[in-house]
Amino acid sequence: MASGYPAIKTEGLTKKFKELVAVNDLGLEVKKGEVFGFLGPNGAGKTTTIRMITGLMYPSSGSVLVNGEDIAHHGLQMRKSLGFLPERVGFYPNLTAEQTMEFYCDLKGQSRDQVRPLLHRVGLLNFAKKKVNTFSRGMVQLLGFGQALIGEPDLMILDEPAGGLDPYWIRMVKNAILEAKNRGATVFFSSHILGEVEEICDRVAIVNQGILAAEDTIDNLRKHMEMKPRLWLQMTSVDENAVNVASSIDSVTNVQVTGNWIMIECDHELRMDVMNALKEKGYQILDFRTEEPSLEEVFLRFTRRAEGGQTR
Amino acid sequence: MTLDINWKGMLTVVKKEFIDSVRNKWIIAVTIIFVSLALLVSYFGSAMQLGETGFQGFLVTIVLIMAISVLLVTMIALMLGYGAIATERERGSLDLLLTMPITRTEAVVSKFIGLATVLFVSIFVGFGLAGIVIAAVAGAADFPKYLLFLGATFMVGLAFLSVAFLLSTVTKRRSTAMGGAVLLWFFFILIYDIVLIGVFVATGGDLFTPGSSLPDWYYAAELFSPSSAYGMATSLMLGGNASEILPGFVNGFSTVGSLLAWILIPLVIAIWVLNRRDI
Repeated sequence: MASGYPAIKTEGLTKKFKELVAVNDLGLEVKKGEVFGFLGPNGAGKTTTIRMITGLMYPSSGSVLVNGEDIAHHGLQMRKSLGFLPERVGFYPNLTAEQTMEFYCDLKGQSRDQVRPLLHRVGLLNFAKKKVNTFSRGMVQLLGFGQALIGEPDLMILDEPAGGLDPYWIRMVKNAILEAKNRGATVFFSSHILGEVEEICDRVAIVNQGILAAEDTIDNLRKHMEMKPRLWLQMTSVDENAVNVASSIDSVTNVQVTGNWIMIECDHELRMDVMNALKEKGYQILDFRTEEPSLEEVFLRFTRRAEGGQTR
Repeated sequence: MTLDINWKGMLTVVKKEFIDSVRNKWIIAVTIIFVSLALLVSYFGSAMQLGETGFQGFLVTIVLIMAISVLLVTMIALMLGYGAIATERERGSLDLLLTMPITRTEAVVSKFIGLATVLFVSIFVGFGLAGIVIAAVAGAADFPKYLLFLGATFMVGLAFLSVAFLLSTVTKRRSTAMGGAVLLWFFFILIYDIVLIGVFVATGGDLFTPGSSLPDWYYAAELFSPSSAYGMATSLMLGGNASEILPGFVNGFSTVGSLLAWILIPLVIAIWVLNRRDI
């Protein structure tokens, strides 16, 4: 296996559908052995990007390199070590879950011995002999995930792996992703739900309207966005003057009032200063709480503009 | 470039396509239709011409079966093939199939071979079983010709299967592919001949005076229709006066060549299109 090259690298990746530019000059780099979250609102171009990386769609311009090799010429090579879960995965209605897994094991040249353990893993062992056309959407999704695990692939590309799953199975998917990482695999997956990715991703990319908005670790993204933790104080009364007092302190970036709560955006070290300043002016603090900025907010900042304030 | 074909992967798809037709009872239904059709036609078909029923020899049986098999086999081939790619695309299984370690060309060819096997088995088992009954009752004379006829029937089936694959590849939706299959069937089976005759009459041709015959260009045009090529190939094989009526260029080579072209060309175009298409 070629080393030193990134697992996935896209250069100027662009896809146009007539008038619409679904993916615009996208340059991503996914390192070997990392879990990479590919984030963005619905319709941002995530699935189109994934379809180009897996070779299902052809770029209008630009290229995809997997292990340093252009998939336009080495697509088969890439597919030999790929575990892929497409968006809205579908199977053959007449096959049972077991026959389905056996079919993909055969195609991948992998032993059928792993079929039952994998079905057990995704909770479908009791349904091994049931035809796929009797399955619910969530069961089909789980079977799709089980299929992507066949042969412990070096590269896993998962399009919305948690889609349609309840929290118990989302946990299973997360654990399986971390296990894949631990044996040295690279995992690239898309999501539009931030809670799903925050704890398992080494790095994330945020894409919006086909354009790469950010690519970094989650911590760096927070710093980059200058999003500071928030201090909420409940006081007997909150007036204009209290806002002025809080704002006058250096490096307080934002102050807002909701009822008798005042929200002050500042670094942790400044919190005592802020509270002392308010006390000196005679304000009595009844209660307080603190709030760390979540990836959700980072994400919203990047995507709000285009979404008109609404993100699902 | 090395020719590095994934035979194992291809065999997996061929087997799956074939076993699928067993699972959904397609192959069984079609085989039963073919057996009963051949037996019914052989037993009762001569009633109109000969005024009596009873199993006829193979030559008569072939003539009787051909009139119906050209309708039925072509229709079954279209039904088998129109969904080959379109259905998989619609249900999402194509995404997985084409991201397996198998090329798009290998995937399409394997699916074609798998469905061709379904046609082969249903034609040879269905008509073959009927042939055994006919041979037992009416004698085995001309059984080799019956086998040749089944071979030609298989070929016209493959030609329509190939056309169905092309339809399945170029259309976006399964329903469009199905509509296209229905139209194509009507075109080749009904409309093509009518239009040719119509053109002949409209250009001053004469069909009704005794001794009049169709011009060479008519037969040349008939060679371009797979179902007509099948009909002419069968007539030639049966002997009789077919070789006197048909112009010299309509012979074994040209009719079988036409069928081969119809088997290969649409399939090659389908592969070419699929290799360039976004999924």
